[in-house]
Amino acid sequence: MSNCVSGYVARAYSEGDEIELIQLFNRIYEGFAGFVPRTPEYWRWCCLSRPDVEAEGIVIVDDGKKVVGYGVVGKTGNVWELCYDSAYNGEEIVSTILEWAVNYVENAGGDSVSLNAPASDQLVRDMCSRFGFAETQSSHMFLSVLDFPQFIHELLNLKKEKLKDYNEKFLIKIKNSPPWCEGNVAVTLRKGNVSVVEGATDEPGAVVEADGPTIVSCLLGTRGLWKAFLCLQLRVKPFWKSFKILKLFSLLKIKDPWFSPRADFG
Amino acid sequence: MKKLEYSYRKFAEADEPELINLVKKAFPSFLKGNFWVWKYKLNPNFDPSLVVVAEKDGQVVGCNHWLARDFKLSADLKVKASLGGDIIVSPEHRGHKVGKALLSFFRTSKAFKEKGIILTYMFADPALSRRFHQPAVGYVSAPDSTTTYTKFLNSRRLTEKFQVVNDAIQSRSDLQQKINGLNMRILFRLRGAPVFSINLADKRVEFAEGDLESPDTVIEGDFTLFSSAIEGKVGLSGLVNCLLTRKLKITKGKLKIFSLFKVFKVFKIAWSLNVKS
Repeated sequence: MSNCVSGYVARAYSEGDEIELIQLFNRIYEGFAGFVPRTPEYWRWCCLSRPDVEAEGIVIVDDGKKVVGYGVVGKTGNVWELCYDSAYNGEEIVSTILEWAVNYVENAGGDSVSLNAPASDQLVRDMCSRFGFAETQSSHMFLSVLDFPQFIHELLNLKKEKLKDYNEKFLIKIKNSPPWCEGNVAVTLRKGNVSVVEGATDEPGAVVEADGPTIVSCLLGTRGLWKAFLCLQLRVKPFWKSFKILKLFSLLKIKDPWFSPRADFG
Repeated sequence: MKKLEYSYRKFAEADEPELINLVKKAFPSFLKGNFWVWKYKLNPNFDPSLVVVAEKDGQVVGCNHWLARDFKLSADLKVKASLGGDIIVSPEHRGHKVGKALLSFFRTSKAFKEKGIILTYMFADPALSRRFHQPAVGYVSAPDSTTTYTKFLNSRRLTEKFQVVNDAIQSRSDLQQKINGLNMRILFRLRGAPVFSINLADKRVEFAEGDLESPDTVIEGDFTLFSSAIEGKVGLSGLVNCLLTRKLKITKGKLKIFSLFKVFKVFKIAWSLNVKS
């Protein structure tokens, strides 16, 4: 089955398409937090071999030379992946995919069509509104840190360039830490060099004390750092170092938007 | 009450038939219970050493799968993470903290650390996570910048929903008393769903798909909010908020607003009876 839509061709998946599809997927979504890179093997499992997906449910939009968008539509009504290249006519590509999805699910006897898109994608929002979709609540992602020293180390390393002015030795005390987690993390910052070790340290310049979920939420940005401080959920000793330490923690905060494609958790 | 003793260990190939049966028993409707093979065995990230099973008297009564993945914590930071799969506990063994023990098993055994995994993540209904995952092992919500869009193609699910509400009302005289006298015909034009109406008459709720001539009240807006209101996820204050912010609009019969609040209250109670049963 194939349709021509003003210069674009919409057709069903055929063997070998996945190489181009995963290139497009990885290029579009790699900037999001929560991204899991697609490999051909992984894509074949999470899309092609998915029990409710058949090749006719995978719509590919191309301009005759390359793939500019695609949707993986399951008979259950889930659009497991929706991806389009915004360098092309996104409105046309997305409307083609949505039209295909609605028709396909209707013919398969499904009751509803659901898809995920980044909240910042205004084009998908507008097109979904035009096609009569409503925003709904779905499963949500939750995180739990297992290795606090390594987690803090990774974040500090990422912001290494901005930490050159920090010469600080401080201790993060994790309150009510579970048995698998060391309760103390010692951090030393010297001229841009980062050292993070498990356990207490001699004479730390400051001590940050909070429970694990509070620290992680503050670093993920789901809880306000200053709010946690003012509500005494996160304490800094000595008090006069609070501003400096909180400023450092703000620097470590993950600011990239998060996105979870349906195929990652269905 | 005698305390039941459970033991926990890593999965062994010989467990597979028992595990398949357990999964079928726990999720009979999903893929007709046959999703073990596709979801885990065929998964390119499947690692048998990251599957834990719970045993009682030599019988497998629970399991939990983990899948190691490269995970972007931000655009420039990739870490080793583990995606938590389904936590499955045989129905008769629920309520004995088997789920919590399964979630903790690889954390305490250092198996994650040996594989360089620094965090775990999973997807769950927020209400379930607040009740179970967060207190059990300290999961926190990831920032939410994913939007889900849904379009209902027919009224099948709505018909079922209203059938449940009506059955509950018919079984309870106090609910019948509450809607007694609230006779009205309400037409709904909601984004994300086909046009439908409900007719409240003779202590009954009747659902009908399609338009309605001269309804007493017309409600427009977002289907999800309406659906949440029926299920009690949006309380009275939430409903008022939806009306004030125009997410739900009464375009005809505005004076019936207090009757509508009463109707939603009855729906909420009726729905909760269904959930409890």
